[in-house]
Amino acid sequence: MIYLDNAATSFPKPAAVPRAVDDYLTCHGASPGRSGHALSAAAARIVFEAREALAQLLHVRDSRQIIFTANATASLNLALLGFLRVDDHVVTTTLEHNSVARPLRHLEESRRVRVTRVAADAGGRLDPEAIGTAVEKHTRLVVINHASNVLGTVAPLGSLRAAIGDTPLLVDGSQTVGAMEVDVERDRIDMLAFTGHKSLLGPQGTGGLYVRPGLTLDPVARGGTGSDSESDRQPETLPDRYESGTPNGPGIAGLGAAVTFLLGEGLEAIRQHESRLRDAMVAGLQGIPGVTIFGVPELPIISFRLAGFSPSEIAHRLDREYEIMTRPGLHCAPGAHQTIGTFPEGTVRLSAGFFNTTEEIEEAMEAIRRMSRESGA
Amino acid sequence: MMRYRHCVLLFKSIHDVTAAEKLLKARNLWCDMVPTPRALHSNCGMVLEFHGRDLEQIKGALRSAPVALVGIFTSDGTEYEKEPLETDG
Repeated sequence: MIYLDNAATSFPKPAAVPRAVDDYLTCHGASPGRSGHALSAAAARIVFEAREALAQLLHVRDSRQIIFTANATASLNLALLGFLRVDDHVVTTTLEHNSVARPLRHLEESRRVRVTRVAADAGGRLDPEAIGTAVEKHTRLVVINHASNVLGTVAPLGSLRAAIGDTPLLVDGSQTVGAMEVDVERDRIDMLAFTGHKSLLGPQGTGGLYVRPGLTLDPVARGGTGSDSESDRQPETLPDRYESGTPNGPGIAGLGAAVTFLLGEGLEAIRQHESRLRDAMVAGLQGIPGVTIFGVPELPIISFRLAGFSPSEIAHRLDREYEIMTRPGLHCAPGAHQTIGTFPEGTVRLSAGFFNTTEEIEEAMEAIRRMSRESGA
Repeated sequence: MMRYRHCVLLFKSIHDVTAAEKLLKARNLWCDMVPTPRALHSNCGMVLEFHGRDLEQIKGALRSAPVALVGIFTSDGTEYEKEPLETDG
C-alpha cells in the first residue's frame, strides 16, 4: 500500500501520537480545568504542554494566543465570522479552499461584506503587488492560502506583507504548518489557522487559530470554559474566550506528541526530505507520455492529468489495481481549478508526506507509466 | 517558622495555573494545584498552594511571567488577605 493523500490527512502518524491518545484515554481521561482532582490537573498539564509546543513551532511568544479548535475550517470560521463586521471589505485570492470561500460568501450575503478576489495566474502563482493594489484605505482583512492544496504552490508572505502594509492578515496554514517554517512574528501574521491532522501529523479533530495579542474576535461559540463560572457572560481571558465546551483532550494529547516529534526531527530536515519526494514525483511524471502537470509545486503536492483517462478513473485504478491512494476531483477548491483551467473535472492529486520514500514514489510512477502505455499516449 | 498557615495563588484560567505551576517547579519552588478554597472566589476552579516562606521569591518569579495572576492570598486560619502586588498600584 502506498499512501499519497497526505494533503487530505497525513498517514501514518508517528508512533508517539496513537500512544499519547491511548495514554490519555486510559490514564488521564478527565476534563482539563473542570474539576479539582488529580486527573483533571494531569489533563490540564497535557493540554498546556501541547499549546506550548505549538507556540515554539510557530514562534508565538505567549501560548495563550493559540486557540484549540476542531480543525482548520473551525479556525477559519472563528477568524472570519469573529472579525468581520457589516460592510467590511476583504481581499482574498482565487486559490482559496472552500473553508475560506464559503464563509466569505456567507458574509457577503449576511453582513454585506465586500470581497475582492485577486486571481492567481494559470500556474497558480500570486502577485503580491496585485493583492496590495486591491487593498483599499479601509480594507479590514487580507485572507491568503499559504499553500494551495491543489498545486503545492506557496504564497510569498514576506513580499505580501510589504505590499499590504498594516492591513490585518489571516493566513490559512492548512498545508504549510508542520511542512515548512511558519513564523508569525517574522511575517507579521495577525491570525494563523491550522489543522492538526495534515503535516502536523496529529489526529483528526484537532486544529488551532493563532490570534495576535491585542486583536479581539467575537467568539463563534459561548459556553462553559471552567472559568468565571458564576457569570453568564463569556470570559475575556485567552484561551478560554474562544474555547467553550469540553476540549478534545485525547486529540490534543496526540497533537502535542506530534508537534514534539516534529520539533525533534526539525522542520528543515522534513522540508528537505519532502522536497526530494516532490522532485521525484515531478521528474517521474514529466517523463510519462500524456501527463500534464499543473503549476510549479514547492510542497510535495502535485496535480496532474493523463490523456485518455478521467481524473477519477486514474485515482480509482491506482487504488484498486496498485493500492496507491490519491485524490481526484476539485479538492474542495473550485476557484483554484477554475484558475488553472481544470474545472469542473479537476485533476489527480499526489501528495507525499513525512513517511513516504522515494522508492514508493518510483512505484507510483511505474503504475502511471503503465496506464499511459495502455492508453497509447 | 512559617509566617502563614495557608497561601494560594489565584489565576484567571487553568492555562495560567498550569503555566505558573511549571514555572515555579522549574525554580524548585514547591506548589500544589488544588481546588479553590471556599472562602475565595476564583476565576477558575483551581489555585496553586505554596509555602509562605517562598512568598517573595514567588512574587519575583511571576512578576514578568506571561500568566494572568488575579492575586496572592494568605490566611492565618481565619480569613484570607490579599497580598499587595506591584501592579496593584
